[in-house]
Amino acid sequence: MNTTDRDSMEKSDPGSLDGNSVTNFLQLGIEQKNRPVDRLIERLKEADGESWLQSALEDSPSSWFLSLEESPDAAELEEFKQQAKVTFAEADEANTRLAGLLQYLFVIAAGLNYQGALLSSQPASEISATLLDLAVALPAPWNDFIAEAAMSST
Amino acid sequence: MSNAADKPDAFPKTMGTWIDRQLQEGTLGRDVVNRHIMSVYAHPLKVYFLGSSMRTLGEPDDMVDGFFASRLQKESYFDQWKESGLRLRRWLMNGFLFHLKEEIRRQKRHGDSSLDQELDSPVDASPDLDFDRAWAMSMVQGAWKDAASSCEEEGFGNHWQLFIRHHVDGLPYKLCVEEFDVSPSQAAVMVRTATGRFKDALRMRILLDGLHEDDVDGELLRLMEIMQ
Repeated sequence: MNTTDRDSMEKSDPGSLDGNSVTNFLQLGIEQKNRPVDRLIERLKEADGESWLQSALEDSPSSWFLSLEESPDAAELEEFKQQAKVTFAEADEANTRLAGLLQYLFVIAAGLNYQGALLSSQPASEISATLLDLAVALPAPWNDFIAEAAMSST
Repeated sequence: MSNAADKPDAFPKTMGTWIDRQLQEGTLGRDVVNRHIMSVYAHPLKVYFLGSSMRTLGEPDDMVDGFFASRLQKESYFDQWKESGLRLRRWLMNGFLFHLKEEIRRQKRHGDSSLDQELDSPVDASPDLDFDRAWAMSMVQGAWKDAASSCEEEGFGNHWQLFIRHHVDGLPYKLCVEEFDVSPSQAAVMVRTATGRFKDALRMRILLDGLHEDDVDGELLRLMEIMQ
């Protein structure tokens, strides 16, 4: 960061906020409760979180989930997304359901990173917030991949 | 609210609890409470005054300062507020209205013949709504300052600056990553840290107006609506 940028930032003052900015800041104060991603993040934080992540990615529809190499094309992503949705919806236990969610969010991130496309009907800002939270809970190399996607549209 | 020791911390769940704790500290505690009240509510009260039919009574600064001077040193003032069951800002607004009416009577006693005519002049907006907008602004500004100093004190100054660059200056995250020379995942941690500080500070300020934790989200949504 250069000196000009820092000077510019130091001039930022809450006294200069307009109504729209205040609304956006108020929005940041709202508690996000009971989002599925919060349960996923809790699972990743458990003592066996890393091994659970490893097996959830190994059990996914493609080796790409584990390696993040050889990016899937649009048709493959669509297929992975449908499979992840089915896994999520039809799971009869929490771990499988969360694995489906994890795979789904990986596909959404891939859409953003590889195609610049939002493969979800959810608002971009919600997807971005979800991916940002997930990125913080993931180890490398997946954390950067998910964070990059979170930051691609906002 | 600039001294960390004076700051309402995460423990008290309501303004009443926090005030009680401060008042138990004697004069110093009362000064802390009064400083908080004045820093948060002075501007909204001035806005309210300027939008009311009583705005010709005098300068907003004088009216609000006079109100605080006449109320905040009263021993029983905060006990009366708690007994009222009102939100603090409503309690203060009611008290301020009463203070303004006292001021009208005082000015009439001193023979200000133009007062009645001036008080009948129309106002442009609902003063209550103006007050709430100014209060929302004050909440955000105060939370900003609290979060900024909290980040600074704990060595997260860059985290806060990145937060400001994105949320205030509108710099896309991608460019923030370049500007701060961090990886996307590092930027994610920075954003979440700063956002968490701001969120906690904002919710605490809402709580300190006398709300229950469960009602904070509803209050934030209401404030967002009136800011539109």
